[in-house]
Amino acid sequence: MNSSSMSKNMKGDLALTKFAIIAMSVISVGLMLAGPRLIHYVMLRQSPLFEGRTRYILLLLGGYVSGFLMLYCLYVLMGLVKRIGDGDVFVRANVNSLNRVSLIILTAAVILLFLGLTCITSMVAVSVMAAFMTLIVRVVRDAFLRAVEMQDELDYTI
Amino acid sequence: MIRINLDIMMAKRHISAGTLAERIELTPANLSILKNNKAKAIRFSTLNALCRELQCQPGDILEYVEDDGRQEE
Repeated sequence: MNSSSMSKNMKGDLALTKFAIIAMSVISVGLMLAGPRLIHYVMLRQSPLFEGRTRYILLLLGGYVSGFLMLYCLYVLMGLVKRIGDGDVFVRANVNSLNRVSLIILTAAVILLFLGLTCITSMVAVSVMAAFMTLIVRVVRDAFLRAVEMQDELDYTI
Repeated sequence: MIRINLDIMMAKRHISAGTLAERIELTPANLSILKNNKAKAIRFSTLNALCRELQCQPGDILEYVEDDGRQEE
């Protein structure tokens, strides 16, 4: 594969990622707007601990907090994708973005675990997946950090 | 640590930074990094060009000095 076709592929991937981020943002906003209606359906399912109004408020609050975290995560991801598109791949800002994304996902995992243990059991599975995703993002972040260090060293090799 | 004694050799040979940079095909900015001990590594090709233009040995440019306890940045 030559460099021009690679660059073409990369541009295509980045454009697709940007589209996916925008689509996910629209879906997130839609889910947040439909929050009370969605929780109405969730309330029909069995709860491991809380019932009634407490359960409803916790689900609504947890949903909104997770929704805002998701929007912030998508905003950070958009910045990361834009920088990579501009050719700034192995830079500190990207390491910081990946660090922020991992922390956001970890926070969401904790919230979902709480909701899973108290309001709706199936959320535990989502929480475990989010925790796993946190680890993957942190590995990618560490790889970027190493690449930034190597880039620094290369820049100062005369 | 390794100290670069480029400025001493340049003074001995009466050669300016601009001229040396041009002769060894290095940018003045990179030569300045080298001269001010900011470089993290030096290529053999650069060392070769420096020795050729300054008519010296690598040991005249590079010198090992004891660390003063501070961690290198």
